Amino acid sequence: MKNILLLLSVITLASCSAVYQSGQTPDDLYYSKPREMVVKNSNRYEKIDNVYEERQIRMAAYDYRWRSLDDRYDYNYAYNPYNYGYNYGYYYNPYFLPYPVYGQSAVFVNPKNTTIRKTNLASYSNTVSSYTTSKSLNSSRTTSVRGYSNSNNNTYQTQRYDTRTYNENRTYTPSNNNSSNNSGGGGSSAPASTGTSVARPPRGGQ
Amino acid sequence: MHKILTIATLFFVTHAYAQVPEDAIRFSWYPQNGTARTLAIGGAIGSLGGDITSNFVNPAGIGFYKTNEATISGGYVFKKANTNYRGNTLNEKSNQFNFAPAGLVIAVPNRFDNKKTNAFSFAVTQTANFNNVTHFKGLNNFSSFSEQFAEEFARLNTSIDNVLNTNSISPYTSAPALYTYLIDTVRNGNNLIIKAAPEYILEAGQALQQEMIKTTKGGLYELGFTYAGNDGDKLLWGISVGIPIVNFESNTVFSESDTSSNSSNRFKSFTFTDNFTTKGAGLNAKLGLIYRPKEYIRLGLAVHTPTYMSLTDSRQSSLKTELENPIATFNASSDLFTEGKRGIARYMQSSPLKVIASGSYVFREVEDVTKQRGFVSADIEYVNHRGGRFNSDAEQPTVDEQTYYKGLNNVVKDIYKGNVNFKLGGEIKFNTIMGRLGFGYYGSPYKDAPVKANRVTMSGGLGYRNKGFFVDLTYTHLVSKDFNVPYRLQNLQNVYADIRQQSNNIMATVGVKF
Repeated sequence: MKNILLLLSVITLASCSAVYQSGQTPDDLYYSKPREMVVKNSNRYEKIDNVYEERQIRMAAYDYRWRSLDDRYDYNYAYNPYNYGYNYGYYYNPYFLPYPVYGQSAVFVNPKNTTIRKTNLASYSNTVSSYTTSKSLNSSRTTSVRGYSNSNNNTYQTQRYDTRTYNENRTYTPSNNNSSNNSGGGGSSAPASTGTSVARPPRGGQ
Repeated sequence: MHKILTIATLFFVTHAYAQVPEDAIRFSWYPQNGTARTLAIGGAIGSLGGDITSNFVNPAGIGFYKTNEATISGGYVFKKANTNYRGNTLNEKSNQFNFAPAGLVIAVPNRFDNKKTNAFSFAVTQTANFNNVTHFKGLNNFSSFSEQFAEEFARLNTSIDNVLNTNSISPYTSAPALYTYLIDTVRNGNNLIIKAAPEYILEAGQALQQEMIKTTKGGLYELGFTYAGNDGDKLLWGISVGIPIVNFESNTVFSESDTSSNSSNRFKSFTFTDNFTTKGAGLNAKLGLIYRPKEYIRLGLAVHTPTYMSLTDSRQSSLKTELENPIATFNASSDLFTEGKRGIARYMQSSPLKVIASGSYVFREVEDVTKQRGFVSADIEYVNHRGGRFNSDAEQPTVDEQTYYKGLNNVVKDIYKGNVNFKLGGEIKFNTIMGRLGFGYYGSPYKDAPVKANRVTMSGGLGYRNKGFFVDLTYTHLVSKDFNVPYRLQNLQNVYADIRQQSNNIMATVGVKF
């Protein structure tokens, strides 16, 4: 992006014109006068084209090598023994290979973990009363604790432990089939992981 | 058969689904950027035209050009943020460069009718600047950042082994938390429950010292190609095709520590580092009209279609946990659980529709610049922030992907709303020198927020135009009120930081007519 800006700045400086240097700078925001249209003689270019084409035809008539200049009749690469491309007419080429010799016949993709930045969408209903579809996820929640908190006081402390019990939503009972219980849309429903197990370090005497 | 499936899984990148609701307004709630002249008048360029910023606001304004122009802008921003997190205030300063529109306008006269003209423009700008530092800390006796990991692991309803492996289903959050014992299973009566170590501190009635430093970099850039027409200075139209380019990087360091003097209460501290980048490009269109019912009066209307972006996220996290009783320190990187590579996810995102209505009074619309006196202009725009959408980039998304994105889009609709932005500005012109003042108000995009979020800009500037070139200089003071929720828990009130930021922006524009 910086390169684009640099390029534009060069263009800006290079495009300084002497057109308005001796007078006022037009302000298009208010009003400016259209420039006068200069009509060029288009026949002039037509003539040049014709001269070029006639000269090419004359040269090609005398020597076949000049014929390759005419891009209307492209050189037939199918007869070229060094051609390993995808061109038509490959059946004339004894050295034909179905793909370029420097190309790859298959692409191998390194595995990458693509599970990123998911969030518990049900937690957003914590602030929005109209988002009611996920309330059934947790029957223990009461409306009194919804909203925001930005201070430390005993009320919040009481609310925290009065309204929440671990047994209802933090029980460790992994299911073997790995079916997800993410009806709120926030949980992962990824299949059983296929990677190699990573062992936890010993906790140290507990 | 199982081996074949395993190998197939390893060799083909599966389609990812990710993203969080906060990603939605990153690309829709930001103050207007523009040339120094546009910023000086508060961004109210909608019906005025004749400025290269029109490429990104109302393309019909390019139709006012009857001369060629090349221009470039740049500036510098001095930011000062004041945060309040649970009664504790912090100040943070940061500085950064700011890029604004640069490009070309080519006026095309009509050979058959000199009352009708056309103009073409190409410009590039930084639509939104993401360079920022958010820093807050405070005591919290209510909840712990780590509880979100415990909630997530409980919600996954899976075994520890299924999380702790090289292709983990939760490699950035639950896996490092389990590996370092920040969360673990503990016996509670007849049940095994999932518990975060800092909860022992909270249960003892003690507070946790929490601190977050979030550094974001990059910007949302846009290339604009505009073609505009002018029918006798009565009706002007324009169409612009925009190619936004996203380059965003976020690095968050969140730490929590025990504030008690008890050295055997199981938890001492943890530091969680989360780094992700979002890169990609998109496409949008802007359509605009400007109508001059009579001399001096201009009325404008512009519609910005949603921007459709194809984005790629890359993420890596790390966690250091210090425990007590027994004393132990554990470190884990998400690389342990992602085959040693950063995670990659591709997805589609669209930003919301925007409509801008504008009007201006331009005193003396004459060619002789010595008789041009000034103008007053106002824009009012509506942005439907609840219209941001996320979708899978897969041709045939899985049921789980569809479920997640449907839920995510529903949350976006529920927590955001359409807002109204208002801009007002004017200019007084003295032959070659111009003076300008402007004001802008950007309303809250949040449907429900603990603070009244908004952004207010006040600006002033000077301009000089003579002998084929022009230069403008503008100072803009931006006051932003916003909030940050460092983590969200399903069953508890959200803690948040109140963020008030003041930015002082110096912007300069140089251009030539040719």
